Formats: sequence, structure tokens, C-alpha cells
Amino acid sequence: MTAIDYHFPTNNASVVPRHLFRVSPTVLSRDEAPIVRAVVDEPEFLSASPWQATIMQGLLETTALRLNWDSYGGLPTSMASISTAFGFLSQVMDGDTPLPSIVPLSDGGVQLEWHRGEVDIEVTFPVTDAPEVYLYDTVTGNEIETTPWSDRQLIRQFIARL
Amino acid sequence: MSGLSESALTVADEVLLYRRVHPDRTRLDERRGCNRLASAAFTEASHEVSIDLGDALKANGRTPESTLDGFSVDDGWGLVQISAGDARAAGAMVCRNPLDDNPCHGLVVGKLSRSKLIDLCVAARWVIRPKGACDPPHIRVQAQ
Repeated sequence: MTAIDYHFPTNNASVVPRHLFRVSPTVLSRDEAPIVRAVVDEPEFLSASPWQATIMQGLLETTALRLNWDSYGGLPTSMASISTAFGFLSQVMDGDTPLPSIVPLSDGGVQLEWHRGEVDIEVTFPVTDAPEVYLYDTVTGNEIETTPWSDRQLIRQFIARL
Repeated sequence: MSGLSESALTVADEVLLYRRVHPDRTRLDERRGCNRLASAAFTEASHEVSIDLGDALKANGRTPESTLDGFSVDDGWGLVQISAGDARAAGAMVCRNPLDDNPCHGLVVGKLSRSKLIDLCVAARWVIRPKGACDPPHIRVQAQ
């Protein structure tokens, strides 16, 4: 069994989603570089399909970004954004869906992107603004802006064309 | 909005605006097999996006490339330019905002929708291109 050791750049253990981790988060340091450590056993990760484990690992990696990572005051990705993005993906993806690219946002949010098949899809979960979905049909040139929680059928139709 | 307003606007449309691009701001475009600029490159939490103003750089004897000083292309950093007119066409204001350590600093101000941010991506041109980056346009490329 392979254990994955996550270090979160925070001294607030409550930001770690405890239901995902075998070992309760432990505050290792409250100094200038605060760290909370949490451990998960990979095969049991989320008791989940492989894509869910892969996505969650990619999302968690963005929490390791340092303050000012983009040189413009960027914040590491918040666990709230990760949780929201993961919840959205769990509703629209299945095992055959290509994995999205994960783009951290400056405000601690996260953006998911697909650019393949006949479509471009961007789904944004900012901390400071409402979530957004951008859909672009490369065949017709038609573009649509909506939200992750509305037009679910339309979003699934675009994802099916990836 | 830091007290900024259009009245402070003395930036001509043709002035070029320069912004650093972190390696996490480019992502694989699987259709083209290269890394495209993400629309997130033009966002900040405050809706005030820092840029260096081309005319101020010139007046201060600096090159556009100096905006990337201290950041390594080998590590995946890049530098893009848009014009002040591009930013205004997307619905943003462009303001001078000189800082103690950077008199060339300016701001693109405004909460832009995703499609407007993508307008900026479409307009953006590489000044210093990260390895593997796509040629513009970065998005909204219609199938042939």
C-alpha cells in the first residue's frame, strides 16, 4: 500500500478535508513556513475510480503553491475551491472522460480546462467571484457562458464531444 | 478599486502592456500539441491586473523584456503583451499606477467575464515565449 504524504502550506488544520485522509491532519509548523501534514493511503483514496484519485492529487498539488507564486500576489489554492471543483467534476465526468487541465487562480480558486475534440471548455471556481463556465464550439464558432450549476445537460453535451 | 478612475487615464490605446506569465498559466492544447496561454493569466483577486506600461518603460530606459527580470524562461516563465486598446475593448480601464520600486507599473481594472478574458488571450502576443508555447491566437480557434 502506497501512502501519500501531503503537506499543506497552512497552519490551519481545519482546511484539510478530513474525510479524504486516513490520518488526521497534524500541524507541523506554525513558523514562517506553516505546514499541515496529512496522509492518505493511495489505493483507498476516496475509495474511488482512478480518475478521481488522479484529479484530486492534481488539485491538491496546487495547494502547495507559495504566497505570491505568480509574482502578482497569488494565493495557494483553497481547499474550499478544490472541494467545489471536485464535486462538479464528479457530477459531469465518468471513467471515459478525458482529464481536464488544472489552472490555479490568483485568488486561491481553481480553473478546469479541456481543449480537445471539437470544443473548448473552461470551468472556473474563484474564491472572490461566482463560478463560471465557458463553452466554445470550434465547428460553429458558437460560444456560451453559463454556470456550473445550470445548463448541466448542455455542459455534458460539450464534455461528450471532447 | 484603489481610488482609480477613468479620469486618471492618460494611456493611449496603442500603448503596449506587458505581463509576466507563470508556468502554471500555460496548459496543453491537445488539438495543436502545444501549450496555450490560459485566460487566468489576466486575472487577479482584486480585479486590478498589474502590468508594465510600454511608454513608461521606454521613458525610464527599460526594455519590455526587463519586466521578466529575475524570472527564468528555463523555469517556464514567459512575457505577453496586449495593447491598452485591447484592454478597453474588453471593457477594462487602463491606469498608470507607479510604485516606489516600479515607476512603469500600471493596472488593467475591471471585472471581466470569461469571454472578455478570452478576448484578451486572443489579443495577446508573446514577447518572451516559454518553451513549447502555442503561436497566437491562444484560444477560440475555429476548426477548418
